[in-house]
Amino acid sequence: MNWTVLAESAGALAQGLLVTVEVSLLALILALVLGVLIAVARVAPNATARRASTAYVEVLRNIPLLVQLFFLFFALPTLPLFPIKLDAFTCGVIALGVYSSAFVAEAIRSGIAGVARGQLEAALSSGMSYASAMRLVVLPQAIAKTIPPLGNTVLNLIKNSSLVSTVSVLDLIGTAQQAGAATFAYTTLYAGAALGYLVLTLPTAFGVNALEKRLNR
Amino acid sequence: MSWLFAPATLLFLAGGLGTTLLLAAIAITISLIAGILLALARLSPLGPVTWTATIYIEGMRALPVLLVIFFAYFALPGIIGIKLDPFAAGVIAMSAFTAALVAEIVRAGILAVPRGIREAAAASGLSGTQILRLIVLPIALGQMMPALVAQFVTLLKDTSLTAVIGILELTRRGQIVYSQPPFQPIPVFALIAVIYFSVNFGLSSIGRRLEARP
Repeated sequence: MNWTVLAESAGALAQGLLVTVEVSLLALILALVLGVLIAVARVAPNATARRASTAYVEVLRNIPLLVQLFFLFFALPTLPLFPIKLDAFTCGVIALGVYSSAFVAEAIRSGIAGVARGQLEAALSSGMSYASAMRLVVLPQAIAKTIPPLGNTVLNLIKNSSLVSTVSVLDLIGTAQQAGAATFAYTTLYAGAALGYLVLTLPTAFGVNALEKRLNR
Repeated sequence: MSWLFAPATLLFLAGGLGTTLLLAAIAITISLIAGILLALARLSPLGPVTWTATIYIEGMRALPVLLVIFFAYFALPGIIGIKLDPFAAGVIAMSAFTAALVAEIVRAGILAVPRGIREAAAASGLSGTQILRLIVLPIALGQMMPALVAQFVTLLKDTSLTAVIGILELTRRGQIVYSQPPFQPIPVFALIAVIYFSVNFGLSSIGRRLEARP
């Protein structure tokens, strides 16, 4: 460990941590909004909506996030008629949010599908209205089942936010990389960056576990 | 678009796909073996072994794979005193990272094997190692195939990140193609997206078929 470099870079790394949090939070909001819409479309009675949303999920899940990010950053500005020039930060948020929305949609869909049909039927036959059967019986169980995969998606989103450094955003990794190129104290700087990610991911994982236990009681 | 489908260009990109698949195949093999060993270590009755494995697994799972790749390429050579070329660093990073995730899948698979099966094997005179090797691991591996396949699809996508340390895999070669005349990234990205999609969708479909089997 190179303590001098660590002391000198601590401020920059903290700034990088803040950028990582910003990218992650904005992308998470985008992913949740899009993900819920896609999940609803995936269980819709309309076949076209189902097919379109399935295609959306499969295409996004099976192409590397880096390729999607590079497409937004390097390819969109070369569109022939209406070139779209977005800054690196915006590209990062959009790519990460849209990519993660496919996983959010799958988590929600599997949660709803995981509640046995008999539950809804039993609730209805015991005299509940459809709305209260959904609200009191199906959805509480679906949410409990959704928490583990959704929590995983959030953790992956935080970790995947590191890809914005490849289009020169100075997030945690970008900052470590920049300082490393100047000082060659890579081990120290990566340890600092790793600590930053642990500060974000470990409490998230802990929170998800606690929530899961609470909801499954 | 004839420039993109010129034999030399297609051959160049096919070589990139080859590198992507080779990197993924080597990393899958190493991470599968290391992952099983890590899972067994985490389940071991020896406290220090359990703790070492747990710290490794949880630590890796909490970090971005890009950080592990950068570490293997820029920091590891200084620590071990051996210069690593990008491909070797990529293999080390992808294997070390995926091993932690495979370990958790294997551990869950082993824990899901019913106690009775283990006890029946013990009662019929098999030793502890035999029970693990002949009974528990085969059953566990069968059950966790879908999760493993999903993990390997993630690994295949993550190999694209090794482009940033200069491995000439599919994504990096795509960048090289569009940085030359006629400088058109859109068709290049469309083509490599289709290639990644086909490979990963194919792999996922195999995984789903394994899942559908009783």
